[in-house]
Amino acid sequence: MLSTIDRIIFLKEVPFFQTLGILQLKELAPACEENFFLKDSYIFHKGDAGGTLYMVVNGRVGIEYEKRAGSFARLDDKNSYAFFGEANFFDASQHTTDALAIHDTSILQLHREPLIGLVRQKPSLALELINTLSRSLREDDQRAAKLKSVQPGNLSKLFDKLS
Amino acid sequence: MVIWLNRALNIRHGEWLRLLLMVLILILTNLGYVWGMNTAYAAFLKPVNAQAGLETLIWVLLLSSVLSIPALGIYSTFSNRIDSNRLYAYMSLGVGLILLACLGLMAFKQTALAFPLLYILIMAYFSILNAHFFTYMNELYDIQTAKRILPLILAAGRTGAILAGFTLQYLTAYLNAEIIILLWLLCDVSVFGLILLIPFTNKEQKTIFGNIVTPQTPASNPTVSLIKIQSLKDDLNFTIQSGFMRWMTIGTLLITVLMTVVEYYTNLLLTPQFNQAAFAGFLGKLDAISNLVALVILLFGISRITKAWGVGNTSLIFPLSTLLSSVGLVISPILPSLFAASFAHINRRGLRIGFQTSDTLLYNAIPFRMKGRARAFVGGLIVPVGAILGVFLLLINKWLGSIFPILVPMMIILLAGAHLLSAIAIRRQYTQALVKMLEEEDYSFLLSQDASSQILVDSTTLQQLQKKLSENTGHEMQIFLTQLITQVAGTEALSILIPTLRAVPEARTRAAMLSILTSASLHDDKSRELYIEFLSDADPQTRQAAAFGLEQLLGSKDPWFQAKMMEMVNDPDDQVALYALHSLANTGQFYKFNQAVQKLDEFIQSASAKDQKNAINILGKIASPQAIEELLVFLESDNDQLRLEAALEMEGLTLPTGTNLDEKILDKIRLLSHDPVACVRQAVLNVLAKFKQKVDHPLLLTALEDKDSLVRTTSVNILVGIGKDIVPILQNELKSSNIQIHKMVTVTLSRIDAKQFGPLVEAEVSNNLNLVYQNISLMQAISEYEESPSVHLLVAALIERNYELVDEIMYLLSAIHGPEMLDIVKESITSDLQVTRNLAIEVLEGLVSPKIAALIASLFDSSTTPKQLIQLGHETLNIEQMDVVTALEKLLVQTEPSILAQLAIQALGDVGVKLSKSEVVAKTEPNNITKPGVSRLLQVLESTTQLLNPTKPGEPKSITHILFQQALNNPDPFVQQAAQASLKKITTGTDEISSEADVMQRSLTQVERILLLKEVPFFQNIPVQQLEMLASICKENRYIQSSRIFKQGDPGGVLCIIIKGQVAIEQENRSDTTLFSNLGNGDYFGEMSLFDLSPHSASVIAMQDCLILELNRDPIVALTMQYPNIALEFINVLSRLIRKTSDRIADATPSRPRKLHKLFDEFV
Repeated sequence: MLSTIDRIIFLKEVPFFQTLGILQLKELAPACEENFFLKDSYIFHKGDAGGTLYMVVNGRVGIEYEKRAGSFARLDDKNSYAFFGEANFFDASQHTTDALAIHDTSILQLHREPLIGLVRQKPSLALELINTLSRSLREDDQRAAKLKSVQPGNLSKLFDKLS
Repeated sequence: MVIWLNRALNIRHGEWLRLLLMVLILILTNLGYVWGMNTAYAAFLKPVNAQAGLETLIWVLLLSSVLSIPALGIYSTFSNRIDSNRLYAYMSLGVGLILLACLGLMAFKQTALAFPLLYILIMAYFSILNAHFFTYMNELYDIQTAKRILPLILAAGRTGAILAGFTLQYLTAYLNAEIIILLWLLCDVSVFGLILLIPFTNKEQKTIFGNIVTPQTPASNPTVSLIKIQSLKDDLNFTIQSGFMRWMTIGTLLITVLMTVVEYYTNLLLTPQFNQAAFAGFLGKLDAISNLVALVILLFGISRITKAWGVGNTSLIFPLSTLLSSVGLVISPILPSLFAASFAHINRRGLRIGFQTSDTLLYNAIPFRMKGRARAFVGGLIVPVGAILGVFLLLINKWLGSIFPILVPMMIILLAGAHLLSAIAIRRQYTQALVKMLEEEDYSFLLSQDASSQILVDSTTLQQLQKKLSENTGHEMQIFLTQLITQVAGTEALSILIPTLRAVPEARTRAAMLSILTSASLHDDKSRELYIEFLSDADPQTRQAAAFGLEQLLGSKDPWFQAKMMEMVNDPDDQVALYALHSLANTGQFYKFNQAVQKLDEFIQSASAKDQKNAINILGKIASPQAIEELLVFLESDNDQLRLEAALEMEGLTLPTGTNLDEKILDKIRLLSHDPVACVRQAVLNVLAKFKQKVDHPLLLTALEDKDSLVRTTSVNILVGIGKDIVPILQNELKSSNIQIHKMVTVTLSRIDAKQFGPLVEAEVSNNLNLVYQNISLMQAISEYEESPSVHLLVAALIERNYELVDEIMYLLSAIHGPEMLDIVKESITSDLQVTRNLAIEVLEGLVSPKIAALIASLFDSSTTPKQLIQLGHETLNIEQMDVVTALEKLLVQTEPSILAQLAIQALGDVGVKLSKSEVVAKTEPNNITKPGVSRLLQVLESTTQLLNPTKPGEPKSITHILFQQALNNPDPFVQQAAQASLKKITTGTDEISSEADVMQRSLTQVERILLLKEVPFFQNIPVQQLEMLASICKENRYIQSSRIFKQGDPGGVLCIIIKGQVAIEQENRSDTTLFSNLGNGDYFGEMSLFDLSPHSASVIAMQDCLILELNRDPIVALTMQYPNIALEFINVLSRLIRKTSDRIADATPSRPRKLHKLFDEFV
């Protein structure tokens, strides 16, 4: 069990909450839930309802996507202080991936309501969250771009001319 | 005198009345209790007919402790349901009833029964009254106030008891027991009355909705968990597991057993020496002395002793004194028995209470989440069990006492010794438990919200905190610890923090810590030295914090401080200099300080707007005629920001000044009444209102038609403030043809005199409703063409317009019925719950005519279809159904807001182009014409060509002709532009902007920009009004082929929409360039680094000549700050984008069977 102070300190280290102040974290920390997942157990499945942010206290989580029956694409690994579920957090949409505990993992999870409540009180907080999500989006976008086959720029110009 | 008392007792103004009541309540309660209980006690211990009453005592003790358990149970079932003030009153009523019952028994000469019964019942009853009192205090005062006030109130209670104790002997000399009980009843009845008065002393909580009942959390009430078996089991488990709790339980058990036996033994020694009346008097005196001892310990002793010796050692004092008094009791043949018994009594009643605080502190070493329950467990279960055990010991003594006369004395000595030993064990365990908790960094026990336990920390804890503070170097943690220490350590905090403060390397931490010290108002010589030292710190923030601390400490009038500030005026850092100027401005004699005046002039003359703005704020603070003159200059500034600041400062001044400056101020202010900045106009109105001059009435009236709603409402408020004098002028304005003026005048008039002008409001409301229903008909008419983006946007704009109109209706109604009522209606009528909505409609029907209520209600009823609404509008308001051309025609003549006309003409163009393409089909297959009004629209298209070729004179003009003609001549330039673009679209037959031939040359119309923005996901759900604002600040930029639009690594913060052209997004590495994607017409980019100003992650290169619409980050950020809902919308869009990207990653990532993954994971 993490004490409230432990939680505050932990949240502060999670990139998602880096910009939040001690007062706000003090409000969020008691609202968090602590859960333990045994190795190979699922934290959520594709199609489960979102609306929760997950943070890895320790252990390791794989974000996976089942392309064919029994064949999984490992999209990302999440280690201590990493967060996931943010894409389905604010609008509580369905998860589009699975999250699997690779090792025994303890997770701190937060529902969206307390955070949205804070945003309504303090609009500047919204901007910080927007920034965090932007960063997340940019990183994902770059990863997606790198995974695509590489084409030298000059060649692409040639293609354009030909087409 | 009052001020002196305020300061001496640390009471704030406005707290007096309640404090006085509480003090009276406590004094009266204790007066009655001590008088009555001692009388009753003496009466059954020393009955008049001389039978030994000591045996009764055993049974009385047994019964009262057994009774206290169900009493707590009954209390806890009520405590959460009844408002705690009422419960307190009921409880004092209960005391009265018990007293009455016993008086009744006495009347029937049943004194032998009455007195023990009274004693038993009251003992049990006071055990819950005590518990409830602290709950009650928790609700009455917040934690900070409680810390100041609770000791005073408790001291008052003790004083009452002392008073009663010393007077009891005189009472018993002249009055018999029944009369004393009657006196008690009298005290109790007055307490009951006083409790009923308490709610009236609280001004904040009284609202029109009655008292707000604060929900009580079960955790704050330790007795609640008592009746739950499961939680008892948990408590027991916890007690067994925690070594510390185990010893606490044993210690409490021992002392309760011991005290029960000692009570019996004391009386055994005392009773033979008095008759009944004298005994009661003596007991009273003993009680008084006990209370005096307790009071002295509580007020002066305990905090000093704990600080000097630590909680652990302090907790040994009472066990020691108990052992001493026990030994005294036992060796009574040697010691005078009266003295020994008195000492035991004082120990039992006085020292025990006095040192209870250290017990409370001991509970600090129990984790916060368990603390309340641990105390409930010990207090609720262990104490009664202890008492019962004590009684059993006495019973054993009764049966075996004749055989072993030494049994009880031995017991007493043994128990006292064991208690001392357990206290020593607790002391050892306490330090260990505390250190363990601090190691776990669970400081929450220090932030306890429990007002009943005083926050006092012993030196061990403080040392631990100090150690933590010196070990931690993180900014956040140091600040946190500093806050903690100032909260819990009292005056000690300074000596702990000062060494750390001097050693802190990071400047911002130092500054923040200084500010914490200042706000904690820890003032003494040490803090003064500290501030002076940091006044010359290298870091400007620290210097400023030190100056602020000194100002708080010495006050701005202090000559030494003023001299220091004079020096600081020339500080190299502007912020510090500004601070010095501010504090000199506070002195009221700013112009005496030459250097400061010079510095201020520098700021005033500065080229930077920021410096000037600061200068304006200081001028506003100085507020002398000279400063006002300077302010007036800024009112003429070209810079919007400076003019606004100056106007706001003027608004804050006390005006009129009563000098010849007033005329000058009025002249300047009046000139600003048409300032482009809305807030300036608002400030102008407020300044004019202060002067109350009739000449300005016309200005106030014109403000009623201001385009900003804030200015309008300000003007209304001022006019309402003028009152009846303005009515004739306003009535004159009612003739105005301007709808806006008419509406606002109506609101003002009906707020001045609701009776006379109320009917006017109803007329305005039905006007608005008329518009709303007409808009619904319009929407229905054009909705057939909603696939066209401009029509879609038009519908959205109409919906928004309707929301505004409904808001206006509510505002109009609030003029007669008060804003509070309408706020509730507004909130409830949009509720998700049908029941709430119905209630709101019910209220509405009471406010307006049934017809209007029905019209408003249907708007909010989700089950009503648009068709039904149109039907309702047709029946009650006579609104005709219309086809699309009539609808557009109606919209084109709308002047307010002009966006509707712009969209309408745009829509006419879009729909027209679409139809002209299907024209061929339509003409060959007439049956295909299913959409209403298509044939009329086809006529539109044919006649538009005529518009370009001037019609021959005399030829009748078609309706469309007139439409376009009207739009082209519309006074609003945006409508004109839209009309031109739309007309061209129809004649050339191009429906996309990008396919227009001359798009690179012309600039986009407002509507076209809005439509482009609307395509970007971020703006899909943003209201049209805000889009209009964003559209007006967009920039169109042209890039020639192969030019770079931005480079990888350039700062972001701009969103680009491609109007026409093609771009490539590329990432450059050291060796080569990777092409990410090609984007074309209507695509957008830059969204990834729009918000956080991060550098662009890729370069963008124009592949053709490009026309790009660019939108900067700042206005978007300003929007999010203003409307949290827009921010949440952006967050949702970002979430969607992340999901999409995640899908892309999933597509590109190869998949493997689970076994392979597992193998992989083994290695990583």
